[in-house]
Amino acid sequence: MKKRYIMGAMVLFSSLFLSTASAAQYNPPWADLYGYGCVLCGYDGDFRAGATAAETPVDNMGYDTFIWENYGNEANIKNWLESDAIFLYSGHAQGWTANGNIIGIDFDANYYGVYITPSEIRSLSDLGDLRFAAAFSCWSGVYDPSYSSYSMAKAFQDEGTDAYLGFTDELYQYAFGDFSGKFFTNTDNGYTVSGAATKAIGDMWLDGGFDTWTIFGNSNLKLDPAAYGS
Amino acid sequence: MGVNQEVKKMRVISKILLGLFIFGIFSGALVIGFSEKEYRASEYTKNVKTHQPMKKAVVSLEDTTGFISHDEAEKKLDEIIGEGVNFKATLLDDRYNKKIYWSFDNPKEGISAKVDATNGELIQYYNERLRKSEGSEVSNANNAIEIAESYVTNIDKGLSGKDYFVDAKFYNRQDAGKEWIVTFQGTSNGVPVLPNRIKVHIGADNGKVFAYSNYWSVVNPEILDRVKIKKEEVTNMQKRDNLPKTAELVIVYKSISEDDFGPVWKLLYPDSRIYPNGTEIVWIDAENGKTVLESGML
Repeated sequence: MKKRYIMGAMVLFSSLFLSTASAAQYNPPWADLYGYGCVLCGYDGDFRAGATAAETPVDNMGYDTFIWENYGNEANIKNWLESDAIFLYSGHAQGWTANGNIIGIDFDANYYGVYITPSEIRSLSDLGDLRFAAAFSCWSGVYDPSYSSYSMAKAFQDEGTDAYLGFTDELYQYAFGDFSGKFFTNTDNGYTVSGAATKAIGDMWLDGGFDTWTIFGNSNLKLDPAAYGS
Repeated sequence: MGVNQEVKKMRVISKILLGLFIFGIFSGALVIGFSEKEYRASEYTKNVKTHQPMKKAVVSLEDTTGFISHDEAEKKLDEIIGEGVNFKATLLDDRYNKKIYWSFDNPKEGISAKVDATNGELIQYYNERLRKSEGSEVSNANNAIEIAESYVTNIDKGLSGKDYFVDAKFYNRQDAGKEWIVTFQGTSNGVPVLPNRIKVHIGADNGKVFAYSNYWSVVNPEILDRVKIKKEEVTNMQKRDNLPKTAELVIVYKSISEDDFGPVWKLLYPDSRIYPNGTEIVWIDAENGKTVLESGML
């Protein structure tokens, strides 16, 4: 009886320990912005501007902001994701189709050793602290209820992300930095994520597919001042 | 030792163990947390940064001589938004777009606008309250175009005398709602000239115009030449598949002579695969990798 009592307590606190260790909150909250570019990967493109253009406004909002260019340690990316308040992936996506329609994507920076699927996002222990995730990738915002497990957007939302920004069409390289800089500057100025996206598109000469933005979760979310997700 | 004493002893031992365990948990968590932070920072120093900070292209102007007044700009907005909205406007010089405008920003209310400081035209407008308000559903593209045409006609100079075509696209933005964007795209002899366009954003569920942007008068590019690209001439299959059926390129010179950027050439056409290098504001032909600068030739 006593042993059960002690063992039960041990299990309870072990759970507490694990959750504390794997999803720590820091002050200031973390923002990890990943950008990838490659001309030898079987596709054209350098999408790093999507991350680098976000650096100044995200930093201005008070986040502990790190820009990662062509960073190849996938284990670290996933581990830090559980401690991130803002996560951004700007890079190539591997699209999946069914009946002629795109039903989902994987983050594909495989040339650098990074390939992240929606299932892997779902397998992370906790994304409840993640306030905002953005995927500057083609079709990163597609969702078909019949193929839910393929949707990166749905994976982030189901795992507890407050708001996820993705896109439902192909994106063009030239617009990555333009949209990213304008979007995050608007959030830094105090606009909601949906307002920031609308205003960013309004100020762009060339949409480059970014007009197809979509938000899963709280579209009225504000990123300023810096904080973790609720 | 009696049974009760043994139970008491077990309870004391278990409490001590639990206390030690809890202490260990939080100590461990602190150490792990600290280590994770330090490790992330050390990894960051290894990740060589090649990017440059963004250049600030927009500056605030204090001397308003020669421009329309703050009151005039506010009056313009009152016509659109209605009375009762008090804006604090800032006169800004956007060197990139060669434009000086009054900027109104009220992120708390979710309202922003830009009014051209030289002619009083509305450049940009966003009103979050209208996005969320009640109204009638817009069921098809024709209805959306009618609403947009009516809106544009009621402000500024409308569309009279402009050479354009109109297009309406529907967007399902999931939790941000459904939306129509009606684009009035300026043309020259039927060929689109991208900077010349007006966009009207309409809530698909309420029929309200909640966002507007007009860069028609901001840039008046001089069209220098046209280059026709035959689809068969493109060797890259992926790019060929993505080319529009009629791929005609408009070569446009946009005279930017500000210190930050220097003079540049720009080639503008939807989906033309002419990629601008955002850092240097240089446009590059995606088919042959050549930089397009002084001559403007491919």
